[in-house]
Amino acid sequence: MSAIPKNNPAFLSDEELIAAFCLRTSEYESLVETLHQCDANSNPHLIVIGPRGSGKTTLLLRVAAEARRDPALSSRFFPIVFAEESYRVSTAGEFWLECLSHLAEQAPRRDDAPNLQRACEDLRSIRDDEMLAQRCLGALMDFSDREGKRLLLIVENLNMMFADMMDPNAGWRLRKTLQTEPHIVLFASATSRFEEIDHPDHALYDLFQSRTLKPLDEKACADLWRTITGEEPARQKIRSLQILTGGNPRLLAIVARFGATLSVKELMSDLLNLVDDHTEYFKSHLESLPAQERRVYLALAELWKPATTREIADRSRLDTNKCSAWLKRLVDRGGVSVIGGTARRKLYYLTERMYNIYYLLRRGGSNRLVEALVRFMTGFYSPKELQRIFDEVDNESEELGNRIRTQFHKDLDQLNKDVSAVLAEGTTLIMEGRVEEALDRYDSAWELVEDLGPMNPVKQTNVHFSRGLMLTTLGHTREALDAFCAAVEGFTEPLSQEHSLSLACAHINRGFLLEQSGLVDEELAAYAAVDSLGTSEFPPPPEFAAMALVGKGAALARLHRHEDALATYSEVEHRFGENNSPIVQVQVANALLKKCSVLDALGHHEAMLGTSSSIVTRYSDSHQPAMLVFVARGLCAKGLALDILEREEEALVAYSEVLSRFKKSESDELRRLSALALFAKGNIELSQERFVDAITSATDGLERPNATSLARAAAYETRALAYLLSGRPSEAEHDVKAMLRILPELDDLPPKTIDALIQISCLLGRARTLELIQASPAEEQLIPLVVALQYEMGLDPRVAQEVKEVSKDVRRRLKETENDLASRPTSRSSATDAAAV
Amino acid sequence: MLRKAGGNWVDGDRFFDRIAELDALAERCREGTHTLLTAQRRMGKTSLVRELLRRFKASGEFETIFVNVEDSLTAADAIAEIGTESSQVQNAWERIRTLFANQFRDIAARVESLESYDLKVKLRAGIDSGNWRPRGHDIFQALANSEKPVVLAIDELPILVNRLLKGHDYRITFERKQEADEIMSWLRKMGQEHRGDICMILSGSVSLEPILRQAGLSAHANIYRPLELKPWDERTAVDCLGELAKTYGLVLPPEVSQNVCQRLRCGVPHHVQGFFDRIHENLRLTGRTQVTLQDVDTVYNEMLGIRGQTDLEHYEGRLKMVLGNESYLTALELLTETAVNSGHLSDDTILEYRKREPQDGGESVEGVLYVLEHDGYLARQEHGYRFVSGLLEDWWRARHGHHFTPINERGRRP
Repeated sequence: MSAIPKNNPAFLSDEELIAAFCLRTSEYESLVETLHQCDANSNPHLIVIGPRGSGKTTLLLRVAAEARRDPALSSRFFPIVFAEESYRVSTAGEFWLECLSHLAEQAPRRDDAPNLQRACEDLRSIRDDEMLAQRCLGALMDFSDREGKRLLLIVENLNMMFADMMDPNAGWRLRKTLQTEPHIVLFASATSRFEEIDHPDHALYDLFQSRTLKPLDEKACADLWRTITGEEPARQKIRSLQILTGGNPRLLAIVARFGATLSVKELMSDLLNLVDDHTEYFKSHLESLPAQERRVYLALAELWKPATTREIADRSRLDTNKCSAWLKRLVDRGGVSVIGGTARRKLYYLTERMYNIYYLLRRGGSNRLVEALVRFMTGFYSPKELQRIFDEVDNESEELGNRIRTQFHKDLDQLNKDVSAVLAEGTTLIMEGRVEEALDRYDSAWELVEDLGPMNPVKQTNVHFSRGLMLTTLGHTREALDAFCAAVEGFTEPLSQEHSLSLACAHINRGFLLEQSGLVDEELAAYAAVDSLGTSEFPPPPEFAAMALVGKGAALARLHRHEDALATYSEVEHRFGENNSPIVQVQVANALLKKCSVLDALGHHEAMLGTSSSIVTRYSDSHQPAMLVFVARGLCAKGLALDILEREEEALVAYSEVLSRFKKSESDELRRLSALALFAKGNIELSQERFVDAITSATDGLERPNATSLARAAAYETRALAYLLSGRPSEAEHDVKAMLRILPELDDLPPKTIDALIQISCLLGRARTLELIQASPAEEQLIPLVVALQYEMGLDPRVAQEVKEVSKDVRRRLKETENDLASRPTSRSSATDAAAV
Repeated sequence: MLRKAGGNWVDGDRFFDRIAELDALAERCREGTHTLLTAQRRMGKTSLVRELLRRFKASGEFETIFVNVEDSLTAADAIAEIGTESSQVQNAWERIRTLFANQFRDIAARVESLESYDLKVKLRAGIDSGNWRPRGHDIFQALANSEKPVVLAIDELPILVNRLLKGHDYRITFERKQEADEIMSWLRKMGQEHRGDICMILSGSVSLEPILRQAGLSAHANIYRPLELKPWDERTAVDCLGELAKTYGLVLPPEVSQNVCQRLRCGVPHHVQGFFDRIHENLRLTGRTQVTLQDVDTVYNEMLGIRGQTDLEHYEGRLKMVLGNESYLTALELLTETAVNSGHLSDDTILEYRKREPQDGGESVEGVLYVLEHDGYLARQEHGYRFVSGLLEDWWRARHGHHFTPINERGRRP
């Protein structure tokens, strides 16, 4: 990974800066070309304009580095780099004094040249600003003449500097020098255009050539990602991040640092963590705003769409004229941008999109639209793939784990009757919802135990462990973690078999809690501690080691250490495959199933097929209900692998086997898996254009109880598309409505659902699809699609820029889907289907 | 090899064309005629003067002094500027140094090595609101006595006069008017007194006449013979684009450069070069060297967009300055009316405006049209007027055209 500092390229050496510079190369070339041609009596002065984090500083510093590095430039220019904020400058004289003081810091010391530091100190005492300016300029020109070089001033945030100027003539005095003094070239930056350069009556109007830094395009975003992470980014991921960050290099760099290996889905779900980690960055500029400006700024953030002055005034409950004045200041500061409208009715938008999202997500209440957008983007920009409706049943293995843990807890209670009676009271209180009393009761129990005299280490572990369990139940994660830590603290070796069991329980539970807290390294350490207990004098039962290894494998998979995860799951199979304990066997089956998921993520579908087949083979003869569930899941995983490998007929056989083997099962879980197998089967039949079969499978699946919302939505999708493709739009509409009713129940918006809706829009017509969506509870959830359909119909909805950009991509995909559908050959099976219909 | 303008003014190998204007201005200097360079902003007034002075200096025909007074706040500041720049004329400077002996007393030994910044500080210390006239007179006298005639170019004088006249609150008061009057009448007197020895050329990024007119001081400008700098014709503009393209290795087909000129319609040098600069940037960003009509289209739309709008903002601001608030609104309406009617303002429409003319104050519609024509916004054509600049016309339409109801349609809508 590159060591690009987050916010301050000024800390980099020239070499580091040159090595890390990968963006704005065209702008850089343009600036350097300007310098090369700067040999006339009048110099070009440049201003680079771009919002916070757009790369102004890096660009200008890179130019300064080049002016020092390239012999052709270094023989003609001496760069003087100002600090990012020049707080001390409020007059023209102070500007030149600041310039001289930076020169004093940056110029090489020579014995035969005047001491610039001392000159600065002497000049600082001059009160007459005109005299100060002339004297400073004299010293600067003296240096320039002595060195035979022009002075290249790199001045950051010129707009801020002029906002703080106390001398109304400072601009004119500066202009005069820049117009007439061939020894001085000024390259400045500003976060936005500002009055002083934009208004014809103001001094700096027409003085600068401006270079506006546009948001990064997709290619530049990918370049930056590659430079920071060293990895080739997926196009879809880059596009989604380009939209969310507004193509802002600094924000993209932040995301790249923490999200190099994450999928789009993981990135999006970590968005909140991202903004939490960078709260200071996001808040810093807000806190620096005066109260009234902040009010206007936040009103615009709440509106989250290009808004007129009147709309912002209404939201901020300010007078329109005052609001307009504050908006102008915000635009000058670069916090707000004018992104459309007309000269008299401008449309404003927050410059930093990520801040807007941060604010809405953190504000609570009215953040539904942002959440909906993020969910939509997660689905839309995730790679196109078969829907893993089987992932939903992952919880099942967690439930098994819980049952096992509870079992051990019961065992512990047996071993510690003296504390369990006290804890039982607390548990009763919790059941009654009297949480605080329960905790009080527990503390009393703790004191009681302490009163028993010098602590028995085993009891100490057990009491802490029980307290941890109770706090876990209450949802007090941090305190629970402390309790589990206290339970194991100081024990590297168990003192007895009973103690070993308690320690293993505490470590395992700590591991589960750490998983929820996202502290993966500590989680891995907890599982390792369980494993190391196995080599002690009193090893815990093998169930613990198996559980710990499965937990470790899952943690490694979450870290995207897929190969390590696979090795861990294989270890479970190798070490415990022959163990007959039912609990251990559940862990082995669980490890194999999780291995399938990792192989799926790695795209190793042949291996996935092998592993899933081995689950089926290994447990086919089992009569334990828990193991039959694994058989069914193994078959579903096998069907999925075959489907991906385009062995569709074999996949259909695998799904049919689920249906035939478990058709009489009373188990809810097996029924649910049967329904899922039907939906997957229907999906394959749809892709084979066997519409009647697809409709039958989906209908059969929908009639079964226990199907999850996700699976039912998928079934309605399949059936709606089958109806549409076989010319039955009115029946399709019924299913589209049903599907749209289900969508709000889903945690995520699956990529396939979005694709299905796009196909439905093409087949059913934009207008009708839009009507159906708008009449459904899923309208908000599908906002980019809604906007895309509105644009398709010639409307111009005013929505957040992020929504607008996603909708552009949706429109592109609509077009592609339409072309695909138009070029679809009418196969024999579809013709047969149509006849059958 | 013509290179991009770079700075705000150009001379030498960056100066393009204007041969006739240079000759005319040189001729006037030889005749001792004081000149007021007039033209709209960015037409190249300063560059023309700088180039002329460069040529005079090279030929040795005249002593040359270029003074920029845009940062001068008072007449005394301006005199100090002229005095400082006079150090370029050796024998005049010796005399000036003697006149300011008190100021240079403590540094007499090293006065020769003083930088102009230090000189200005010293000179300024010896000039105040009470003595700037005699001090200024002495400086002019010293210049007039030099061996060769002197061409004194005073740039940005209108900014100084405007500042004296309106202060920071943009209000003309009696005292301010008096101050502006004093420097203008003094300059006039100097010009008359030293005609033949000192030839003055006045120029500025804003025009002097409307400022003087507002204060009723126009008479002070009548010793300066105006020289209007006109836009480049299409051929010159195309040649300029071609030269630039050659320098920067771009392939610019003739139909493309013609398209640029047709869109601009009026060859303001800065607009022509600015157009080229944007095209060049655009190509650089996309890694190409062949200019297409599509590039012209993209760049032109950018110039009309929000980012480009400020470049032409001065056209609007200037009207306010010249016409005052009431008449400015009339001008705004007439120009927008023209813009939304495909750049044409018919005599019938003008008649409608006349009928609705407010009776209280401000210029008449005729007066406003006179200014708009005189200042190069509109040009008379058969049965009406049209925009001189295509760029300005499109810009004006983009900026003011929305929600504007043409006068003939007013009343038809609820």
